[in-house]
Amino acid sequence: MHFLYLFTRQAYGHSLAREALDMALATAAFDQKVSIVFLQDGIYQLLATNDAHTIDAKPHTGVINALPLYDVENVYYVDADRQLRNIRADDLVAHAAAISQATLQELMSSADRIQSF
Amino acid sequence: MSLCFAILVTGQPYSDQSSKTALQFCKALIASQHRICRVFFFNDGVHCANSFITPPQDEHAIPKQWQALQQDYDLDLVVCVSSALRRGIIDQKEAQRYEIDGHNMATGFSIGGLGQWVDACINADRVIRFGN
Repeated sequence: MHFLYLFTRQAYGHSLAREALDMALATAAFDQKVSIVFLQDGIYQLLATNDAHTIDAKPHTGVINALPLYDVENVYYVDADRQLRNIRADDLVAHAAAISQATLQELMSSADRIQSF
Repeated sequence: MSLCFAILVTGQPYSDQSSKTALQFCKALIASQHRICRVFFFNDGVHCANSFITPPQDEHAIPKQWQALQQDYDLDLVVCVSSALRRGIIDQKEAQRYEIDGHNMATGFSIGGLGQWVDACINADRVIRFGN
């Protein structure tokens, strides 16, 4: 079964960013196909350098980098979200791929379960 | 047609409307002959299982309402273990494991892992989340 997760929160504002990512990992651990799209401000979760020590938080990059190890290969962001926020593609983790709004819509119509956090 | 629903509650009681809406939605499902394969309390939603919640007399105690629904319709109410432990929602078993005096998880709820939510999603016809 294909699970699509849409994450719209930045990394450190709310615990749902982290806990929902744990849910996606658990889904992959149960041998389901998982795709994640980091939408809108969610794209900030994909920044390759995220120094969380100054705010006494667990670095988010650890779990983001672990996604391929848990067989979550389909990690995306919408390129328009990146451009709107003036983020350079080079500043995002290498295993995240840019998609268009049209591809997002295709993903949403092909997925069996969609959850947004 | 009767459908099976998996319900995810991520909103905490009394802070916003979401956990109450979840409760009312579940009652409406039951009244419409649909089935609820599992209610999973995740993130701030785990506070719904806190038996220490004591609202003023003219307000409803949300955990008690879930308990009543569970008793009447044998609902499977599962509280996410990692969300719960972080937020101090502890059942007797976890209290023993972590050597904590006392426990506050309301009866009728059980502690479980995220796998139980994934399982509910696979088996349900519809997946709905309540929370911001």
